[in-house]
Amino acid sequence: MTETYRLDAERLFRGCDPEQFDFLTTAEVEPYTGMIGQDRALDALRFGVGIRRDGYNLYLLGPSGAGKHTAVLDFLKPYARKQPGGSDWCYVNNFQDPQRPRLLRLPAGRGSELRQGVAQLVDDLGSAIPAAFESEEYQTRLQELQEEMKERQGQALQGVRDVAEGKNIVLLHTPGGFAFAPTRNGEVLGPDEFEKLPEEERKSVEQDVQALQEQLKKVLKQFPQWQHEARRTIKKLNREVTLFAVGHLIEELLQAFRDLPAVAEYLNAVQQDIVDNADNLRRAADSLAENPNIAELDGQFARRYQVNLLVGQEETDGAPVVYQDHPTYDNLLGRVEHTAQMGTLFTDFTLIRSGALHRANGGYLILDADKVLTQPYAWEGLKRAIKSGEVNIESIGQALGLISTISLEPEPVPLDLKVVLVGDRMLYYLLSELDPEFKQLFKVEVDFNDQMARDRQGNALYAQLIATMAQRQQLAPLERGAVARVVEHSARLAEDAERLSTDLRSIGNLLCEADYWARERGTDVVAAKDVQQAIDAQIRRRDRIRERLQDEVLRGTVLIDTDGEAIAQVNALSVIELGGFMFGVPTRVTATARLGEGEVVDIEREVELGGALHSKGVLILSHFLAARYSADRPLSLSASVVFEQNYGQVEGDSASLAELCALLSALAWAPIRQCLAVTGSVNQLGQVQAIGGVNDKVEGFFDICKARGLTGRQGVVIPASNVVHLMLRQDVVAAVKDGRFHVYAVDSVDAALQLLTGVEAGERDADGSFPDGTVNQRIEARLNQLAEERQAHSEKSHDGHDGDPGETADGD
Amino acid sequence: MATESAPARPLERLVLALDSAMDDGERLRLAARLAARLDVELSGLFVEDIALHRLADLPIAIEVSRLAAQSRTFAAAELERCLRVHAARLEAALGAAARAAGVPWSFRALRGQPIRDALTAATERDLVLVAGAGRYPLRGRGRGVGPVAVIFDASGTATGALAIAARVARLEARRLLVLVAGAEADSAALRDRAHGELATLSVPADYVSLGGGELAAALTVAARVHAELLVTDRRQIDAAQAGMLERAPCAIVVVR
Repeated sequence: MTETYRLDAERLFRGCDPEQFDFLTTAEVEPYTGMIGQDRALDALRFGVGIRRDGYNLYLLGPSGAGKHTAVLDFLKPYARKQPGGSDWCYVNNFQDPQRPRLLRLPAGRGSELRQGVAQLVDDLGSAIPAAFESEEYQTRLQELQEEMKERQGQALQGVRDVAEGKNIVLLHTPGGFAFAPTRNGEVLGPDEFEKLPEEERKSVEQDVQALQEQLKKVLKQFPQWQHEARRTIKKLNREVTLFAVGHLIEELLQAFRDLPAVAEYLNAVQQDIVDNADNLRRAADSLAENPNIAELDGQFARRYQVNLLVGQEETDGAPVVYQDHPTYDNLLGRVEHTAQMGTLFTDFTLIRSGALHRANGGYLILDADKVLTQPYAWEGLKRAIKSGEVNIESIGQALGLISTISLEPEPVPLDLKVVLVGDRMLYYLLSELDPEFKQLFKVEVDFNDQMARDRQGNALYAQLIATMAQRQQLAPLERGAVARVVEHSARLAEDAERLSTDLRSIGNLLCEADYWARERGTDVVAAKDVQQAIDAQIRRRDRIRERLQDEVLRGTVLIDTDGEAIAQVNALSVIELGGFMFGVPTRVTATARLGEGEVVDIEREVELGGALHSKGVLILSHFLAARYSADRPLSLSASVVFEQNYGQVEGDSASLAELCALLSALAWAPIRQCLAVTGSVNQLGQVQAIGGVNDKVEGFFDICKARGLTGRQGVVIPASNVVHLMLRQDVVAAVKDGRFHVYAVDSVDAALQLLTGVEAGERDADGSFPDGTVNQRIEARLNQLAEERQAHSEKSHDGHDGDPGETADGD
Repeated sequence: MATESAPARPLERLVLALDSAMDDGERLRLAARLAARLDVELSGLFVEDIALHRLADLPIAIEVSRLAAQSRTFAAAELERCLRVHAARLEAALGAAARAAGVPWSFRALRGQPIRDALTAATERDLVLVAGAGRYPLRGRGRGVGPVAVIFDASGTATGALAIAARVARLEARRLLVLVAGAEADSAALRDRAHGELATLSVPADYVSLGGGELAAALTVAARVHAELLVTDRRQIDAAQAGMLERAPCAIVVVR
C-alpha cells in the first residue's frame, strides 16, 4: 500500500549535470550584461526610459536581492551615453535683487568655462583697477579737481579777505570758523584801542564787520554745494576710469559667450555693476595698495561676481545617471547654506548647493523608494518637483511656511529627467492604493521576476551570469562542477526543482564565500566542494536556534515520537524563518472528539495564537467532516485540535492535513504511526494541496529521525503537487535511496490516512456505504453514534425540561 | 648772493607748527613719517594766535561757523576753552601718529604768532614743518606722487636745505626738484653749484629757475608740479607775504 505513494530518490533532488556546460572554468565564459529571466522587466524598462511624456517615471519592483539596482544601472549607463548631455547650471548674483539669484543654463562644460573666466576677470580687476587709479593720469586729474575745489574756495575767501583788508579788517581763522577783527598797522586792535576810537569809527567798523560776516556766510553756504559738485565730478571720473579698466576684460568674455544671450546679458550686468560701484572698488584698490594681499580685494568684490556652478556636466559622457543613496529633502532638492559672521547667519547666491535632482537633470535619477519615503518631506518634495517640472530650492521650513525670515529665493531650475524608484512590491502596491498622485507620476511598472525557468537554456544563461559576477567581483573562476552546484542551490533557493532563483545577492554572497574557501584550500579555482562548504558554513553560522529546538526534541522536552503508534496524535511539520534562515521542525498535533453540536474548536485561534489562514484551515475541516460523513444529519461532534507545546503564533494552513488526520484518528479510534510526519493543506473535498517550505520540513523531520537512528520506517507525507519543489539535501536523498527514510506524496486525505494508520481508508460502494473495517466506515459509524446519542439526549432533555427553547432548538 | 658752505649739523627735532585753524590729520602723519625718515624727535608746537585773544576781548567779536555758516558770539572764555580742547586733540593725534611711526615726540603750547613764534622756538638743529596742504582738502586719496622741491640760492642755509631735501627725496623715493633762486644771469652757475652738491649725494634732480620773488614763484611751481614737500630756509619764510603760507599747496619744511 505504501509503495503507491513512496517517491524514488531520483525525484527528491534534480541535479545539474556539469557536462552540459561547454567550458571548464568560468574564466572561459564571456560576461553577460543583460538581465536573465527578466524579459518583462527589461521591456518595461526600455519602454519607460524611451517614452518622453509627463509622468512616465519608473518604479522597479521586485524582491530584495533581485539585482534591480545593478540591472537599471547596467541598462541606463550605456543608454544614457547615447543621449544628449545634460546642461550646466549656474547661479549668479542678481544685482537688481540680490535675494533672487539669477539662473544661467549653459551647454555642458561651458559653466566651468564661465566660472573660470569670471574668476580670471575678478583676478585681473584686482590689478587693473588699482593700476588705473594709481595711474599718473588719474592722480593728476584727481588733484586737479581737488585743486580746483580748493582754489574755488580759496578765491572766494580771498575775495572776502581783500574786501576786509581794504577796510583795515583782517579775516582770522578761529577753532570753529572765521572772525573779522579791526587792525591798525597789521595788528589786531585791543579792546582799549577799540574803545578809544571815535564812536562814528567804531560804528563804521561794526557795520563793516557785519557786512563782511554776511558776505562770508554767503560764501560759506556755497561750499557744500561746491563740494557736492566736486564729489560728483570725481565719481564720474572714477566711473570713466573703471569702465576703461574693465571694458576690454569684459569684452573678451563677451566674445567667448556671444552665442549665449543670457550669459552675455549677465556679463553686461557685471560691467554695469562694476562701474556703478567704482567708488567701492577704488576703496578696495586703496586697501590693496596699502596691504598687498589679493584676499583683501577678493573679499571686497570677488564674491559679488563669483559664478556658482551648481551643476557641471563637463565630465559626463552623455546624459547624467545619478544614484542618490541618501535622499534627504536637502540632498534631493538642494539647499541654501549659511555662514556665521559675527554671530549672525549670512547667506548669498554662492552658498546655494545642488541636489540630486539638479545633478540628474537632463538624465536619470535612481532612488530607493523606502529611503525617500522615510526621509521627512523628501517624498512630498520629489513629487512637487516632478509635477511642477522645476526645482525650487527652499528649506523645509520655507516649504511648510514655518519660516518667514528673509532668505534667498533662487530662480527655479526647469526639470527634465526620468526618476527611477527602486523598491519592493508591497511598497508599490501600498503607494498605488494610498497615494493618488503616485500612479500619475510613476506610470511605468518594471516588475522583476524572483524566479526563472530551469531548463538547458536557463542553466547556460545562469552559468554565464555566475561567470560575470565572479569576474566583476574579481573572484577565482569556478569549475563547471561548481557552477552546477550553484545552479542546484539556486533551485533550492527558489524552492522549486524546475525554477532558478533570481536572488542575485544571495548567489553573489555564495560565490564570494566559495572563493574564500577555495583560497583557504590553497587553490585559485573554485570547485563544487567549495560551493558546498560555503553552503554548509552559511547554515552552520545561522542554525543555532534550529539546533537548540532539535536538541529539546531529542532530550524529550518537546514531545515528538518517531516510532510507535498513537490515537489522535500526528507529527505535523512547520517552518520557522529567522533572519532570512528557514528551517523545518516537527510539531505534535492532537485532537479530541466527543458529543457536541458540530463545532471543531481551533485552540490556537481561541487563545489568539492562530492567524487567519490557520483558522481558515480548521474551519474547512469541520465542513469536510460534515459534508463527507454527516450529509443527512447534524454533525453531533465537539472536537478540538491543538499544536502541542506551541507558544508562538501559528499561521498558514499547511498543517490542516495533519489536523484532519488527528481528528479522524480520534473519531475512528485508529492509531497513527508516529514514525511519519505529515504536511499539506486540505480543502473541503478532501484533496491535499501544495504548501511552502517542503524541503525544509522534510529535512526538519529527517534530522530528528537521523539523530535518534533511522529505522527504515520513518518518513514524511507531502502533497503530490509539491514533488516538483523537492530539492532535498544529499544526506536525505542517500537515506531514501538506501531505504532508511521515505518520502510519500499524496493527493487526498484518504491516501494520507492509509499511510498514517496502515488501514485502508475505504470508498463508498454502490449503496453509499464505506466497506466495513475501513477508516472511513469507522468514522462514519462513530459520527452516527454521536448523532443518535445527541438525538436521545435532546429528547430526554426536552421531556425533562419542557419549554426550554434552547434545548428545543438544539433538538431540532 | 651768498656763497658760503653750510656746516654739517646733526638734526635733533622736527618741529611741527600747529595752530587753532589746523585740523588736518594728514599733515600730522606726514610730519611723523618725516621724523621717522630723518630719525629725529617729533615736537608739536601749538601756537595760540594772539590775534584771536585780542579779538575775543572786542565787543564786536562774532564768529562765523565754518560748518553752519551762522554767526555766534566769540567770547574770551569760550575761545580759551576751545583752544584747550583743540590743543588736547592735536596732542593726542600727534602722539598717535608718532607712536605709529615709532618716533619720540613732545608737545607744548604757547601764545603768540603761529608761524613766526614756531620758527623762533626752533634751534639750528631743528627743522620746522609749517602750513601747506590747503585748508579745505577734498575727501579723497590725498596720496601725493609729486616731487620734493627745494629753493636753492647757494647760501649756507639753502645748501643745508638742499641736503635735507635730497635726503628726504631719496628716503621717500621721489624726484628732487631744485628751484633755483636769484637773477636770471646767475641761474646757470647756481644750477652747477646745486648739481655739484647733489653729485656727492648721488641724488638725481630736475632744475627750474624761479627768477624773482622766490617763495611766491616757488609755491606756484610747487602747485603746478604737485610737489609733496617744499624745503626752504627761514629767510624765505620771513619774507613771505601775509596769507601766502596759508594758501601753500603743500607742506613746507623750513631749515633754520
